[in-house]
Amino acid sequence: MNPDGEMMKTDQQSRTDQQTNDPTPKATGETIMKVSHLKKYYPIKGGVLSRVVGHVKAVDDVSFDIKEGETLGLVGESGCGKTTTGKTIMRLVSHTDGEVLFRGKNIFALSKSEMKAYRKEVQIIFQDPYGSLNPRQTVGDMLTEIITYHQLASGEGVQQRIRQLMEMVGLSDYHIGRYPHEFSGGQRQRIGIARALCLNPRMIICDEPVSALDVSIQSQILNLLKDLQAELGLTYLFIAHDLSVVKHISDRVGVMYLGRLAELSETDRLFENPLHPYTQALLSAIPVADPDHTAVKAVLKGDVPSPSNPPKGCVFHTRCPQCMPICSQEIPVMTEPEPNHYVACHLYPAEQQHRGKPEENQH
Amino acid sequence: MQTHLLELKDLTTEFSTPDGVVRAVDQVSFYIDQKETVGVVGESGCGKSVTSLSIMGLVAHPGKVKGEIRFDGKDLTKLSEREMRRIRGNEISMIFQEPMTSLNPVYTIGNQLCEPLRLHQGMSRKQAWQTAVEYLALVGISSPEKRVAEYPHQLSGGMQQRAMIAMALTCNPKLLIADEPTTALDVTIQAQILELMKDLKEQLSTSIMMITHDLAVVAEMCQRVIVMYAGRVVETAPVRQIFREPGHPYTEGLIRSIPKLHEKEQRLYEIKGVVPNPLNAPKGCKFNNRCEFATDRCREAEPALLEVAPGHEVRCFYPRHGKEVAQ
Repeated sequence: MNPDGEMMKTDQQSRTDQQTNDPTPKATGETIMKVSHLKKYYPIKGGVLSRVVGHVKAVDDVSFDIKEGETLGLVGESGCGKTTTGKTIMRLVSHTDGEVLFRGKNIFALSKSEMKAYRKEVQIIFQDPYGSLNPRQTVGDMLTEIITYHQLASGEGVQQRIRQLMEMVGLSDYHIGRYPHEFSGGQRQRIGIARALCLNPRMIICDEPVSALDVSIQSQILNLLKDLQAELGLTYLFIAHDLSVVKHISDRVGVMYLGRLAELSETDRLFENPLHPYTQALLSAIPVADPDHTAVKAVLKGDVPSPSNPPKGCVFHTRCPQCMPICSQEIPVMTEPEPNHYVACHLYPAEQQHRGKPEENQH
Repeated sequence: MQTHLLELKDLTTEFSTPDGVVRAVDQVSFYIDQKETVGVVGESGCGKSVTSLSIMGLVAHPGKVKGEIRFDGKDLTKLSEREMRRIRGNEISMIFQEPMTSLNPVYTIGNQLCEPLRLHQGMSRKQAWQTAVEYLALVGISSPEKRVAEYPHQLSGGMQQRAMIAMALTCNPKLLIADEPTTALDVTIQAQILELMKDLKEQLSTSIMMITHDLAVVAEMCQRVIVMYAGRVVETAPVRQIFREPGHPYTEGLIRSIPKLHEKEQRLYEIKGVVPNPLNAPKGCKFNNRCEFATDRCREAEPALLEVAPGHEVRCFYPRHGKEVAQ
């Protein structure tokens, strides 16, 4: 599973592409998934008759698209709805409203057989590699079950495919007969990746894949994910709370706060010139592994409000250092103050929008 | 010569398991001075938490603690449980990683804050309650008079951690052991808590032993760093030196494997392999199976912790950024 020369070349190529201001570095430019106005509300039941007394707005009106071959990072603090977004896209939880188009088809309207095909195309890697593996099943049994259910191979082909998968994720043949508890955290996550790769998916939703791992193991897994992407042309939706990890792996990054998307842009642009006050605060809050680094910190006051009773207007206005009267009144809409840089904040009113080419024409 | 506030000499903590004796902490020696913040860094299983539990005298029965723990002139390993209880929570206190599991869910915050005050400081019920409110205000909890009567589950994660800190500080400890105090928290809350700890340290002149796996937190908080690997101290140095001229290949690897926020890199540095099983650690230097510079010498004998520069000690035959040490 070591990088071969060819892959390094593609990596470098994409970097030069980026430097020459190509807005879509690795991606071929075609939109693979379009999420529009996605909402997921969980009912709160109360009273003797357990009637619905309110809603937890886990995901509230989130829209973005993912291009083929790119990595879209989704960051935010706990409870911001990033994981729920991922699960809704996987159809692991039902949605409340909105649409997710995968290659032009609304995934919420798929028939049973279409759904089975969709599962082959889109896979997920979970945060807790131990909790998401069956402790009574060996790695080989688990992979065999998936392969035979989806009729990808039979007979000797199954074993061959499993050995191939193990090699891809950097494990050995003798690991096939082992149970999850016999592996270390990093190896378990490799198994999680092997499971996701099993069906030859086009897109993988990575839900905090490295948060439970130690630093030295984290870098191994991140490198593996990057290698696999270059090799197989995968598309990633990378959900994480660690901004330095997201910056490292993503082409574009979306920042979520309290169920809403606050800002979305290309990685470099977002980190160099964050527009939303929340993104600015988030970036300045990250400790830097350099004792000589002295940044002025914009420490946010207070906690994230409860999603069952989000503030009126802009959900961030209760903690925002640049709050204006309008912020507590109206929900800001997504504007595009710079090309391909979207932000939902009243500081950037729609009138001052960047008047460049509309996004669709750029690719 | 100035005496250190805390000095560990050859601290060894062992646990007997059915498969053999596990040395979680293996002859660890270091010191912490007054008003100093020292970071203890390492990955899971390196023995950093067991070190802190050994200092607190909280290692449970089958575990055995050997060596010397000198705190303020006394050897803590020689004290009776009764004497230890007078120090624990009073002169040395601890903040744990998960505030929710270390607060008692059936007592109010006030109740839990008052207990050490009444036990150690002999305050009256009323006085203690008053002090509890003051400390909650000190750690930045809004409307402390109201919060003091609430139960832990009514507080958010960041607030619980603040309450934990308040509890640890009520008796003005000389040493505060913070075991991964911000790991379970979000970045914006982490920034608040770190800021708070820095302020309080200035105000109350407490020494802090900061146990963490996050090197960035260390860079921000600590003056000196101790790096542990497989139960051993592998490097200790002032914080600037650790980041500028790491001596041990493991330290260097750790620093290089963090994704940098201000630089662009295509591939992250990897330390190959995993932490060895303590029952089956490699012979010689414990890091030799993952080290890219390992030689036969490393596989034969274990290097000693030797000084490569003033205040900078490294356990390696071939320290980076320095000449080979003849041992």
